[in-house]
Formats: sequence, structure tokens, C-alpha cells
Amino acid sequence: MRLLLIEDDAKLADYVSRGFSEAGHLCDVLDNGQDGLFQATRETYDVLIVDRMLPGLDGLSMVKAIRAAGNKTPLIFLTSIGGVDDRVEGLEAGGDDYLVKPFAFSELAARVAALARRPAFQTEQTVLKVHDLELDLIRHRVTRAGQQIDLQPKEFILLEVLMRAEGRVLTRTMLLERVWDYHFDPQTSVVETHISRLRSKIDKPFDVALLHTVRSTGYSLDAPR
Amino acid sequence: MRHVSLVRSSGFRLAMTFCALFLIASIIAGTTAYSVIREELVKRHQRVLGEQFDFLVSAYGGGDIENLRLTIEGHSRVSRNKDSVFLLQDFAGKKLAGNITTVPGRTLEGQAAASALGIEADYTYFVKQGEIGEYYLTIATSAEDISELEEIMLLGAAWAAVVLLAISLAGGMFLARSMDRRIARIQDGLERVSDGDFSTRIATSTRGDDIDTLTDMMNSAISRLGASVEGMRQISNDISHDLKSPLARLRITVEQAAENHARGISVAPELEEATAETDRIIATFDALLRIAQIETGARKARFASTNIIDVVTGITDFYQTSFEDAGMGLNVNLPAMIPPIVGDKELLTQLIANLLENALRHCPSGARIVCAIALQDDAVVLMVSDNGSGIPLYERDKVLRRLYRLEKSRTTPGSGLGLSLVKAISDLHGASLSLEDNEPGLRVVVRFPLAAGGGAATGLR
Repeated sequence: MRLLLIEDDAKLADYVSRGFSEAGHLCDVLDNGQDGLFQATRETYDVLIVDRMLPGLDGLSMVKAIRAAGNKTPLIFLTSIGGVDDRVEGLEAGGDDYLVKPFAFSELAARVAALARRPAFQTEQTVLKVHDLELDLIRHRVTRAGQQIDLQPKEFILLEVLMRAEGRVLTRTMLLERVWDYHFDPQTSVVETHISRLRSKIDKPFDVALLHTVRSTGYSLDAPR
Repeated sequence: MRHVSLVRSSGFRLAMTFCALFLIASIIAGTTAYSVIREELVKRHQRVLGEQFDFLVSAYGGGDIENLRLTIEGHSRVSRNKDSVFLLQDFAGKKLAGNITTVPGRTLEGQAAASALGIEADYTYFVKQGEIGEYYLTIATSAEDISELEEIMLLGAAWAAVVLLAISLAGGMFLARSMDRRIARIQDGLERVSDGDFSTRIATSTRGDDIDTLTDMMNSAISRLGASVEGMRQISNDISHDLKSPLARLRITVEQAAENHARGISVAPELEEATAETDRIIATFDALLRIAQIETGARKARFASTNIIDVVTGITDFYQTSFEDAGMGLNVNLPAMIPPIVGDKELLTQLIANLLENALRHCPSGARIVCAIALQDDAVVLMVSDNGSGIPLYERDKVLRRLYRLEKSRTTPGSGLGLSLVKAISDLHGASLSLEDNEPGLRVVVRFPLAAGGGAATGLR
């Protein structure tokens, strides 16, 4: 992936770009809005990572300008302002996702990966398949190794979200947003509970586990290698 | 006490302004009256002069100069103090009769100074001159009455001004004093407030006038200011108390890691602990900021008509499995229909989530939790009750405070901000929040008033 990070906090920028480089991605770093706007419109990137508070041109205005120029590169906002209003403002300005500082690198990496794949989702699949697990969106049916599995409505959506992101990590907050459309941080392990319910239905009765817990980050649904 | 000088007091200034305006009005009125009277007098003088002249012309008749001379002499004698002046001359300028000496030429017309007639006086004369046959007649009347009028008017005006000034000065001082007393009370109050005493209330009079209204407004501003300052003070206290200890723990962990590193021991467990501790600190900080943000009321802009039943259904469904896994029962008790309330769906979701998480964390296994919605006396009432150990009466007010945690809960996880957030959200919605005894257990009741005020909708159509 080719990424552009526009962040004026040098330490954070270094931490993030090093993280992506180690994962084998290319991450350009700029520290102000003007340069960011110029670079983002001149070069082609997979994902833009933009701090909301930037010297010169602020992040929000910069993103508005990028979008006004017809550039549709997926974009995630980084911010130290965590209010819901700010999130809505950022999304309205043309951001695709939003992450509040301080964050774990794994959370950012998961979100950036999800954004980079987003266009591929456009092709409308009616049956999702991972290993021997199948989810039929039209008939609302889940089978594994030919055996039908009964899921609750939310469990079905949870599985759908996980299957669409096959092989990628989805964090707790990403699942909260995508499955339940909740934007608060539960203090209890409620997401884990839902995951373990789902796991007991799709994995337990079978010998190969598909739904994996990624330590201190989130979950991923993977076919065995 | 800080007094302003008399001249700078607004009461005195007001009185002085009125006094000046009154003076100006009096001067205009006096001047007008004076000029009207004066004009009348001048006209009368001219009429009298004309009549007298005509009379003397008729005394001359066709040429009876002796009769004219005698008539003039008679008139002159009657007017000894020279109210009226007569002078008959022939064309050569020789005086034939009259009570003044020779007047040079025929130069006088209208009004003339006394000296022009050879008289010593400080007033003027109205003069008429003309030919009678072969003679020249000058008659004049003194304008002393007009001078007197001027004097009387001036004197009267001067006295009136003095009296007016005296009365308005006295009145102004009285007004200034009474205003000053009231303003001094307000000043004292505000001074105490700026010294940090927000319990101060400024006394009002029984008059109920504009100053009282202003004072009432100041009092309510002071009390709100006091509340927000108290809130700030409390939050900084809370932060210093409750964030300091996790920070201290974090520091110890990091020191431990450095020590272990020096000894060549793996520091992985310490780093993991430090990360977890940092996350807890961030969560606490976020919650504090979120509460502060909600308390500013800015989110009211995003209020919309919200069906609370949908909110409850969604969030209870979300937590159902957690309760089951914890060995508790969550029952949801909803009416088929309820008027929508005006609010923020996300915040209402968070409110219920916090109440459910509280129950989840603090109730023992086997507890039964009920989440219910009901319509009661024009209010939509949300109730979350449990049959756990409840909250002692003396701790019920305190738990709504930020970072307050029951003594016995110190060991269970949580930031101690859950109920504070619930309180902030219900305040934002104009709802009342009460913690009641469920005998046994805790019952949290949030009443969203419908219609008038409080941000609730007017109900179903």
C-alpha cells in the first residue's frame, strides 16, 4: 500500500510511518496542510491519514479541498478531539473513518487496511465464502461443511462483516460501529461475549477454527493455511 | 465600600440634566413672552404718538399758531418728568414751545436715545417728527416702561433660576444618595464575587423597578457562575485525586521495567501492565472530557425526535448475552407505543448502556435486572432496576459525582464516571434522574418530561 500521513506531531508521525514500513507499506509523511493538499492531489495514494489539527491549513479544510478537487482516495482522520460532533464534522467534510488519539497502532492499521480494500466491496456478492463456511445474503442462510447453522439477526450481521473482511483484523470498536452502529466504548467485554457466542456456533462443532482472536487488537476470520 | 464622587453619580447627573433642560425651556418661554409684551408696548407707544400728533395738527387748524403753541405749552407743563416730550420749531430751527431745548434737524425717527433729545436718562424715546404748516413738530414718549419690563423680567428670571438650581441640586443629591446606596450594594456584592465568594446574593429593594430586575439577573448569573466554577473546581480535584494514583502506579511499573531491563530480565509483563494502565487513564480522561462536553450543552443542536423504544430494544438486545453469561436475567418491559422524545439518540443509547453496565458490574450472579419504559403523567419514564445490593441512602447523591465510587466497589473495574455521564446526559435532555430503593436493589429512574420545556416532543399526532 502507498500511504500519505499528514501529521505535525513528529514523534507520532515517526511511530506510525515506522509501523507501516515494517508491515511492508510505503508511508510518506508531511507536517502541514498546504503541502498535504498539494501532494495528495499530485500523487496517487491508497489511503490518506490526516490529523485534524494542522498548522497552516487545518485538516478539515484540507480534506474539503481535496474532495472538491474530485479526489476520492479513502481518508481517515486522526484527532485528539473525541466528541461525536467532531466525528460527524469529519465525516461530513469527506473523511471515510475517524480515529481518536491516543490510539494503538494495531487499531489504525486495521482501519487503514479496511479502507484500502473498500472499493473491492462494490462488486455485489450474494454468497460469501471462507474455507467451508458459506453465508448466503439472499436466502439469509449460513452453512458450514454443508451443515446449516442458525444465527440470531445480529450474529448474522457480525459474521457478514467478519467474512467481508476475510483475513484482516477487525477491532472491537470497528465491530461496534459496523454491526451495531454504536459509537461509545463499552467498559465491559460485551463484544467478546457476542464473538464467543458466534464462535460457539460456527467453530466449536468443527475441527478447524476460522474465527481468531488477535491479541489486544481484535478478531479476524481466516481460512486455515 | 467604593463610592463614586457626587458629580459622577448617575442620579445626580440625571437631576442636573433635567435642571439644565428645564432652564433652557424656561429661557425660551420667558424670551417669547417678553418679546410679545414688548412688541405690544412698542405698538402702543407708536399709536399714542400718532394720535397726539393728529391732535396737535387739529389744534393748529388752518394756521392758528398761537393755539398750537398754547396747547403744546399745556402738554409740556403736565409732563414735567419728561415722560412726554414736545418741541415746536419754525423752519429756521427756533424753538416756539416745548419742554426740551433745540433738536438738531429732522434726523430722529422711531426710537432714539435720551441724549439725542438733550435729556439725561438711561432709557430711550419713541420719536415722531413732522411739519405742521410753516412749523416743525417733534414729539416723543419715553420707553421707560419697556426698560422697566426688561428689568423686572430679568430679575424674575434670575430668581427663578436660582430657586430652580437650588431645588434640582438638592433633589439631585437626594436621588444620587439613594441611587448610590443601591449601586454601592451591587458593587459590594460584585466585589465579593470577584474575590471568589459565589454564595453572595445582592439584596433587592421592595420597589421591583429596573434596578431590582437587573439585580435579580445578576444574582442568577452569580449563582450559575458559582455552579460552573464549583464544577471546574470539582473536576480538577477529581482529576488530581483519581488520575494521580493510576499515574503513580504507571510510574512504578515503568521504574520496575527499567530495573528489570538493567538486570537482563524480560520486561514484557511490565510493559503490558503499563499499556493496560495507560488505556485505563485514557478511558477515564475521555469520559471526563465527554461529560464536560455534554455539560456545555452544545450537543442540543443535534437533538431530533427519537423513539426511545427503539433505543432500548437495540441496546438491551446488545447486552442480553452479557447478562446471560454473567448468570443474570435481563427483562425488558416496553409499552407498544410511546410519544417520541426530543433528544440525541447516541447519547440516550450511552445513558442506557451505562446503567446496564453498572448493573452488570455490581450485581451478583443470579440477579434480575429490569429495563422498562412507561408513560406517567406527561413524562416518558425510563427505569432500570435490579435486585442487587443497591446503594446506601447516604451515598446516593455522591455516586452522581464524577469519579465517585462506593467504598466497596473500589476493587471492581470501572472509571467511576458511569453515573456522572448518565446524570450529564439526563440533564442535557431536561430529564430528572433519581436513584431509588428497589427493596432490595437499586432502581434508577429517568423522567423525560413531554411538551412544555425540557426538550421533549409534544407527543403522538
